[in-house]
Amino acid sequence: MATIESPATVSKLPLLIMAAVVGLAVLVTIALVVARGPETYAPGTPEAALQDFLEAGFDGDSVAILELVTDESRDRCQSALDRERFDDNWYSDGLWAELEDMTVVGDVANAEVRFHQRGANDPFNNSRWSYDERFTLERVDGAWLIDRAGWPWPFTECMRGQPS
Amino acid sequence: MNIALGFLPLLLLGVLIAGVWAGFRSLSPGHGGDDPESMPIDTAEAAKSIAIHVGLFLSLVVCAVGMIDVLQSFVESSRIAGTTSDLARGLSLIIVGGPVYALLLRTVDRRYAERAKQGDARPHLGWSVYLIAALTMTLIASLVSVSQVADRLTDDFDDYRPEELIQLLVWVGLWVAHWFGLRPRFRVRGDAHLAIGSIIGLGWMITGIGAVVFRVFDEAYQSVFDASLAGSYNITFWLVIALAGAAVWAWHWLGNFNVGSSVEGDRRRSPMWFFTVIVAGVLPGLIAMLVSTTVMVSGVLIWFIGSTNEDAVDFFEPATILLTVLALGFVSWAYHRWELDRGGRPDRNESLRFHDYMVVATSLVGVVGAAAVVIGQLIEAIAAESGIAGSLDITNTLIVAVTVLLASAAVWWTQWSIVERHRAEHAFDESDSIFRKLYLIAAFGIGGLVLSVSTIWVLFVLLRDLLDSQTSHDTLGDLVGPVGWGVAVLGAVWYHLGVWRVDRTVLAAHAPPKPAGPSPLTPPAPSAGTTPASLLLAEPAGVQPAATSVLTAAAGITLRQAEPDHAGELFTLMRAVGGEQALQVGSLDVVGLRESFADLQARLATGTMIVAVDGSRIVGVIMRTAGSAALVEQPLVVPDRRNEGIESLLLAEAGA
Repeated sequence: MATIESPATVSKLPLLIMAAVVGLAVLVTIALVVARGPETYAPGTPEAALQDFLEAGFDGDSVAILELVTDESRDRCQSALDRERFDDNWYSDGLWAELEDMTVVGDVANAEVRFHQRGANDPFNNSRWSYDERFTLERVDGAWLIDRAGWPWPFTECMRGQPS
Repeated sequence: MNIALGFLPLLLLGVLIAGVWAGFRSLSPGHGGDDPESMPIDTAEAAKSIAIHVGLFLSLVVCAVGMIDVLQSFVESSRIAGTTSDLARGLSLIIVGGPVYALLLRTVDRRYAERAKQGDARPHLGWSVYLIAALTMTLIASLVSVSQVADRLTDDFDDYRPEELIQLLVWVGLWVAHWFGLRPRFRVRGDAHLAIGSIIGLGWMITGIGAVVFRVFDEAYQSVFDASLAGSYNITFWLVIALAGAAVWAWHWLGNFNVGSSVEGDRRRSPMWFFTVIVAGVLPGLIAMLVSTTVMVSGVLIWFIGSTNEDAVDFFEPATILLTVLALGFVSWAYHRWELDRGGRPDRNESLRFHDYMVVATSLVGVVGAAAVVIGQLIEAIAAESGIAGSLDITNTLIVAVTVLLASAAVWWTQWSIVERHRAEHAFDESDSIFRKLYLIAAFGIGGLVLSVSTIWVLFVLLRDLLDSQTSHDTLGDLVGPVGWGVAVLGAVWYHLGVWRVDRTVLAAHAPPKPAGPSPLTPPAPSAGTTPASLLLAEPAGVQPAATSVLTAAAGITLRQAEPDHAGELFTLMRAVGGEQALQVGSLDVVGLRESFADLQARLATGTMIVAVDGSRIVGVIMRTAGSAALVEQPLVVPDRRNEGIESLLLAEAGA
């Protein structure tokens, strides 16, 4: 049976449009992800100190964390560091933080941070959740240090001022 | 996403049921070549048959359990205490179940004899169902028993238990009795027992081989990359499973099903054969290859351009099982594709269409799901604000989604192009396919449902945050799922609406025209079952149309039997209208183009054509054939005289 060019062919316009939409979505998404990094803060500000602390937490770098906290907090949390094996157990994939509020009164600063967590193990899991934590910073010899913090969780109790 | 994925099993189940139904049609009355059944079902007789064969099956189970209990009680050498309740139970079951089974089997025998006296020598449907159920049950029980015995023997020989060997022997014995004793005596309708045995054997064999191959791969991987984890695997058990499955598969498939013909008729390329090859071999193999390849490719991409905390040895460890799935999937797919094409490519039939539309549907789900994720990630990226620390890391998700999208789209496009090529050649056959219709129904049904849910979801999120005055980037973040799925499904539904419109045009063009009204001089043709371009008339076979020169006249139209002198004018009319039809439906297989001039001259000599004449001009023609049933082709009318009732006049006259 011979084949003839049939006028009753299905329009491919929807396929072309969908291909364009998806291709554009991929490119724009990559561009947004690459272009958007964390905010940049001036050195010596409480925001910069908090950022260093959070970055150290995301990296699971307990040594760096302890260098960014006050002496009292360091004393309280040293034992927690030994006990919790922070480096091995910490898991921060799919986590990022936004600074919601920062209030500075004299040598004390109070920050409110919103953490966002999304399912990282399952690429098709779009679920995500958020939670807020408070941080208190103190200016010691001109440098801002973390005195109270509700995060990261291996240090939760000691950073909130409770001896561990 | 989860909601939409939840529909996937329903879709697959629906298509599977349709496929099973198509396969089982060969079992039902009216589809067998030697099946003269057209009489109404006798409800009382059917109920009696069901009762007999259900009773037969239950008494078989009772007897089997009883035999196992009794025989096991003889080999329980380690009993040092307790009662002999097992022996008592076994004897009770045999004493009751044995006579009942014998009585019912005798009843079956008598029913066969009674029907034979009435000239009905076909296998009974009720018996066939019983035999298929009994063969399936005993086969599965035998294979399970093999695995139990093999597990004991390969794990710890000292723990060997003769009770399990007894169980195996009883089930195998019952299967042998049914296959070699009862099946030849009472026979079985159709090939479902062969299809089931082939599928079970293939599944068992592939499981065993897969486990062996995986363990070999895994051991090699561990010994090369992490010697501390290398250990000695006991693969004997899986070898036994593979051998048992291979024996079952070889017996059913190679020995009985995949043969050109047997005493029970042709088996290769029957609907059930196609269904078995496609559902048990080609489709699972294709899906296994696609899934394993996609996961491997996306894994490699994640390792090089994505992010992971795992070291290389742990990250790539799943490669062993993925390679196993890929290898077995390829073997299964390649072998069954070879079987499909062996002896020449088969003519396109509903079984092949089932395969094509299953592949198209499955890959479409992959395309839509991956597109939904990609679009969702775009919204997520837009919604995410610059943070103080960390960042939205969606690279891995994008890698997997794009990989799945490309793989699924390639499969969908390839398979859909094949389907559309067939539609171009045989427009009506393809558009009228039940599986094409089911595919479109599923696309619109599931697509409509997803679109509805997405719309409700979007409205809920927007209204909630608007009414609470809490619209923010979080609002956008909550729309990731519904907008992604909504846009992706909308695109798919949009395209398939175009497909549906074309199909509707094709089907309408091939449908016989409805009479505009009864002929003033002749009664309308009775409506009967239709064929694509013909009407099957409800008149005795062999009846010829009246051979009068002038048949009837109405509205200035004269209907008369065509004469040899009309050949030239008729041929021109048929080619002109036929060309129109061909362009409309995209196929040359239309009434007006089928016959050559010589064919037309031969047909005119038989007096089976009626022409509608206005003055001296022929404005319409209809052809009919006479054989076992009279067939009337679609009437052809010149373009400027359509919708004047000439088609109806011709149809009514041809059917008078």
